[in-house]
Amino acid sequence: MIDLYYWPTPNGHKISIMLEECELEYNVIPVDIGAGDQFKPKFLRISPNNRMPAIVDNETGESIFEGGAILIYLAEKCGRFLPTEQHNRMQVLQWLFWQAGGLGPMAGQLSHFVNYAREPVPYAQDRYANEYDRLLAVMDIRLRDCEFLAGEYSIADIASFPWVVPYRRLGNDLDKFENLRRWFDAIKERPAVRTGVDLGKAWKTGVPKSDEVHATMFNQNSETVMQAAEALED
Amino acid sequence: MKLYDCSTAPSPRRVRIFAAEKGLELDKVEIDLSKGEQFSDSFRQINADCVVPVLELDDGTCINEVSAICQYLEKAFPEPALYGSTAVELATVVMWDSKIEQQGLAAMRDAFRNSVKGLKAHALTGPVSYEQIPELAERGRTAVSVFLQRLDEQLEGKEFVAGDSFSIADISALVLVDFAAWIKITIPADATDLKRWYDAVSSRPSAAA
Repeated sequence: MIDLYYWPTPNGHKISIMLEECELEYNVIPVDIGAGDQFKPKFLRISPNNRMPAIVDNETGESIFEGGAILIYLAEKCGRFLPTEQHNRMQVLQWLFWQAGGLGPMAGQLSHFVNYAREPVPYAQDRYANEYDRLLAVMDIRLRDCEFLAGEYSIADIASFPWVVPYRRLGNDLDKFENLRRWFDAIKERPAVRTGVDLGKAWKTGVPKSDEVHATMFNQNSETVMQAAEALED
Repeated sequence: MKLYDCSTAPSPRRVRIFAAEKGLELDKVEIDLSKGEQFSDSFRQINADCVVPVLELDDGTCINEVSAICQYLEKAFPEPALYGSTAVELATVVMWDSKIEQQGLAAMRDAFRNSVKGLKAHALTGPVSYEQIPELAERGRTAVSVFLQRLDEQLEGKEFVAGDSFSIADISALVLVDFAAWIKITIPADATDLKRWYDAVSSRPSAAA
């Protein structure tokens, strides 16, 4: 059985989708990021970067943070969605890292400035909107030649899909990306993806409004993180 | 005194541990739930709700419901106190036992009874047939995980669930954790206080009851 530390966000969805795709049994441990659950000292042992998702595989005792690393672990555990043959494996890994270093962070920052910033910051909004738009085009061009990012459906698609889902709210549209639209529609119909994205839907409270929640989510710095780490030593 | 028991079921185990802590030896009548013996005409005379445990006193009085049985035993055999000693301790113990029942064991029951094949037409205990609702099983699983975290927070800096002394709340929580393992919910890796407490209470001789 796998313990999933989770909150219903795009990064959380990567792993809920993957667990559903692999038909693995799992327990959900909600990490309410608005309430600051991710900064509880004990959670640091599981996830030193104060981020969900994280998993603990009770079968092996392995505890893993970072979505990409979790996806690789689960893929190898089940022997699915990550080929073993080197060329095909590298196809998957390069698009997985492209997501982890590009699409995820850029869409995440865009989301911050569109949904959460207390005052409009046009430079930042433009910068991340352009990056998101560029990255969607990169996907679209790639998907001219293949059905999925790495040929066959893989953890690269599972990692990328949740960050395409909010395209409308992020001010983009898929009409100009014919191949990306096809890819998006195909993945959206997968039963495991539907179940994964629905997990914990009811817990969401929408965009945080109170100063306290806003501070918890966005005013963290080295000082607050060191404090949590010190509490762990006691 | 006679305890109508089922050696594999969680609810009667709470009474067995409670009695063991009091040093009581109860005569036991095994009701095999897997064979449906709780629905027999003879058992219905003892408890119309068709559930164990039931404590039958020497005068024939039958008490069912775990909390009622334990409170009877507490009054009849006060030592050692398992409901605290002072008014505040009593309130704290009952408060936590009630939380464990309502947030932990009830969620666990939802998760278990709505998912196990053998209970398809018995999603609720008792003589009336209720169909399973898979969504309740899912929700129950999450609620159990959440409640285990809550217990972990409660146990931070405390030896026992309701404070400094072992109580019925510890018994109920121990039964909850062991029951959760039936559906493979284990103590989360970051719940270090819960783990420390669990290791201590499960090594008490009464835990084997």
